Amino acid sequence: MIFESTRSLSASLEDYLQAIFWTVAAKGAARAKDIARQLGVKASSVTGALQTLAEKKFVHYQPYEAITLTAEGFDEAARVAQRHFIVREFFVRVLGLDEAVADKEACRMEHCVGDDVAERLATLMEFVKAHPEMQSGVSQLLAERDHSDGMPASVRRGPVTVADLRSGQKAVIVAVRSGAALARRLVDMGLGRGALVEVEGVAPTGDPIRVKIRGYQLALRRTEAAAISVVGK
Amino acid sequence: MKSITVALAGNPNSGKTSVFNMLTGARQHVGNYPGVTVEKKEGQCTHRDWRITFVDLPGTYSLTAYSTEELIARNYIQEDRPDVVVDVVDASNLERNLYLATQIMEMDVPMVLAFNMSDLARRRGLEFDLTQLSQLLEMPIVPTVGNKGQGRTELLDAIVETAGAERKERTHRVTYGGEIEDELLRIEETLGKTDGDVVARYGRRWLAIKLLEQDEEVTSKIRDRQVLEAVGQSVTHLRDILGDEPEIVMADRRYGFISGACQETIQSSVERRHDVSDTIDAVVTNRILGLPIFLLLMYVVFFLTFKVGSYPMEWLEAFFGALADGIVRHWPEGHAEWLQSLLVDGVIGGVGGVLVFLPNILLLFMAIALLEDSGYMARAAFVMDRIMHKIGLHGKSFIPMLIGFGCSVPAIMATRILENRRSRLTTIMVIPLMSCGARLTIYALFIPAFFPQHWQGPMLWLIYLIGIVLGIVAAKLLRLTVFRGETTPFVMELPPYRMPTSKGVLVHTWQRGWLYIRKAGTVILALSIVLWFAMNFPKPPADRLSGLDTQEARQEGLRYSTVGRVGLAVEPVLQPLGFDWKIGTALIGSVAAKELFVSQLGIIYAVESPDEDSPSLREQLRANYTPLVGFCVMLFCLISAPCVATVAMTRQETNSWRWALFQFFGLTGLAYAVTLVVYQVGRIWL
Repeated sequence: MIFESTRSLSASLEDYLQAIFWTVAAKGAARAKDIARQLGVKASSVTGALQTLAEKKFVHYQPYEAITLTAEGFDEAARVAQRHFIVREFFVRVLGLDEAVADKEACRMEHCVGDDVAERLATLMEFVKAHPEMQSGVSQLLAERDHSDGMPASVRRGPVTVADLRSGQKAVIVAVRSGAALARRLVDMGLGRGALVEVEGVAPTGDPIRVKIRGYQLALRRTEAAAISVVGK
Repeated sequence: MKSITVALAGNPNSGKTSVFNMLTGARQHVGNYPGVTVEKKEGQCTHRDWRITFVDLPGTYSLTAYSTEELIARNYIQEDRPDVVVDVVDASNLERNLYLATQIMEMDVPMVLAFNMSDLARRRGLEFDLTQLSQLLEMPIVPTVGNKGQGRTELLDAIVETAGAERKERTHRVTYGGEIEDELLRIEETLGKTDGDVVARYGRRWLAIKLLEQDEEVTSKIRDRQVLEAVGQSVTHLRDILGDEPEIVMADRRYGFISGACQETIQSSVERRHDVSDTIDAVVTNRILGLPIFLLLMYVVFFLTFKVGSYPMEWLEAFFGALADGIVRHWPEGHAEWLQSLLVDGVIGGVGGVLVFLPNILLLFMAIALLEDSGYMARAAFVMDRIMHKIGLHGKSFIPMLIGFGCSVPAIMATRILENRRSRLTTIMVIPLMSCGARLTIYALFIPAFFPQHWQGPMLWLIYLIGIVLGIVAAKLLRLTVFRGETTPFVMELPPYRMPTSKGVLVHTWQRGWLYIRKAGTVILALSIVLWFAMNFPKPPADRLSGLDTQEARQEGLRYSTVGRVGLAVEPVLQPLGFDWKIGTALIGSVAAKELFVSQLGIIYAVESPDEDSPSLREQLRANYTPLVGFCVMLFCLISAPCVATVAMTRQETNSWRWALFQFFGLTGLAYAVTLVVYQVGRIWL
């Protein structure tokens, strides 16, 4: 569902959309000056970009008022975020790049990689993860090529749901899927679409996990956390 | 004087209880909601010329039909129509707390918002525009600090003002977005044509919302097929275009409404990522330190309850002993001796025997109140959940089970910390398998009587271990059969750590302690008297006692009594376990209290001043029974028939004799089966 898009925005507009997406997730709404500060641009450029995004019905925007995303805007932003995430995780986990370098690369590639390519990268990453011998093979080759560091000691699973996030990782919820009672309970507690969730820690026995949501702390079993689909930051 | 009823609603951990205590002071009545195990608290106060009755609703996050507590809270507001609903919100966690408020708003009752813990929120750098928020939500907002008693007068003023004010139509409400609103309107229209009664009582908009959410309880109230069909169509249509259940999207929209309101009225002056609470959590839920810290704290609770509590317990024992002595000494010689025995052995022995535990109970509940009020209890459940979940229980079940090693009675009371009914009942049922302190006296008598020195430690350990293993197996079995059902989702708030206030802890402790005292004065008193009669009547005819000394006379008396006769009668049943009528009689007597088993055996074997260290009683036992029988007796005492006080407590806490009897007979049956196998197999083997 996240992957079926047609490209309709320029790279810079996608950046604006991303900035709004994360700010709204964290604060409920965004202001032009927040966006300007985050992207390091002038307020006047933000205004222009916001008008364009509003015309395309991606954001609700009135001058001097808080900015929120429309349903389409949310989906489009989630798609870009997803591409960014997949590319970065692929770089880190399969290619063994340093996190900071991978993130910087992903910032550029999120605009030019097609959804189809991203999906295939994700599939390849799943395959590599499922076959540890491949992982060790790749890391061995890389280690032979380059004796300096940069390769993560253990290559972990790529996040898809809250259960897959590592401690300290943040993500935006895109869907809650499970039986009626549980899904309702989760959404009632604030774990709804568009909310920012952060995994804070894990119980000594490995389950349940602690997350921060809407400014408070919640404990969830992994089985419940697996019902919450997210895009990671 | 005008009388009004005010319901107190709010999230768990919002400080609702402290606001309730602040409003009503000591004038409270604690009971149960009819038919369920959910506690119902009521209290009164007078303000100006108003007499206000407060009803404390169960703490909930939402008002769905999925949980008993939520259903009770919702039904109370809808059916009993309180004059005002006060929603207590935690101001430092406004978004989630207002979620409940939006749902109460939809029920169209006059509301007041108590902005609780507003001091804490300000300290966290939150600034509120209460005037604007009050306008947006269309209800008065009063900042309170419940545990410090701040805002009481202002809150009461707002309540009576709201109760006296004329009702106005709401202008702001949660709007669910074009598509959903269209369907709501459609359902409201169909409702308008039908079901007059239900519609008049609940209101069209609320009914339409609940129907679209596919709320089972509300749907079952609608008889008209046309309405149900219209709802069905709307749900299918919305599912198509929204790609999700309408109920989920609607919940999202409520949060949207709240985000909007908060955006305009809250300013956060400081950006604080990590506060003290996060730092504490990093330690107490730490992967390595989490479990040791938990075990240490549990040890402290146990120590406080049973070690520190043993001193006042001794004073009380001395007091009841002196009372009994006094009665005996001042009793007019030869007058109604049976009444003396009833008073001394029955009433003082029975009720006193339970009341001596009061210090332990008070200390235990103080410890629990401290753990709960500080916020640690939720972390304990978090740390233990995985282990307890394996046997189908909740992380919090660990605490009552641990207390069960001291005494089952407070342990059963401690299951109140469990919210889920099935988890709670399962825990109550298996608690007697955690070998309590009273049963230790039996082991202390039997183990040295039958086992050599170096076997004594491992033997005691084995008995306790058998209890734990059986408890785990029984819990698992119960969850698979009698209390079958989905395991409760573990979606639990970890409230920020707070310094407990002495007032809050004392009120908490006293309320539960008082329940215990009342229990001792009613059910336990009655059962003790019944058991006393059974052990003393009928009296043997005088000619059977002639020529016997006091010891022998007591022995003959017990044999001739109802208990003794039952003991004799059940001998054939107990024989396959290796037990004779003497053990049978002592076992029946031990239903009054486990430690009575030892004194009963003493009477039967005519031993003077019997206790667990009595060498002559041990010799008698050694002479009469094999070590295998000795082990079987301990096994049977471990598993079987919880004592009268436990039965009474289970009856009270489950609100039904059915569960109390199920526990009593279930455990006795289990004891019989296990002992039978051990004895019969052991006989062949040894």
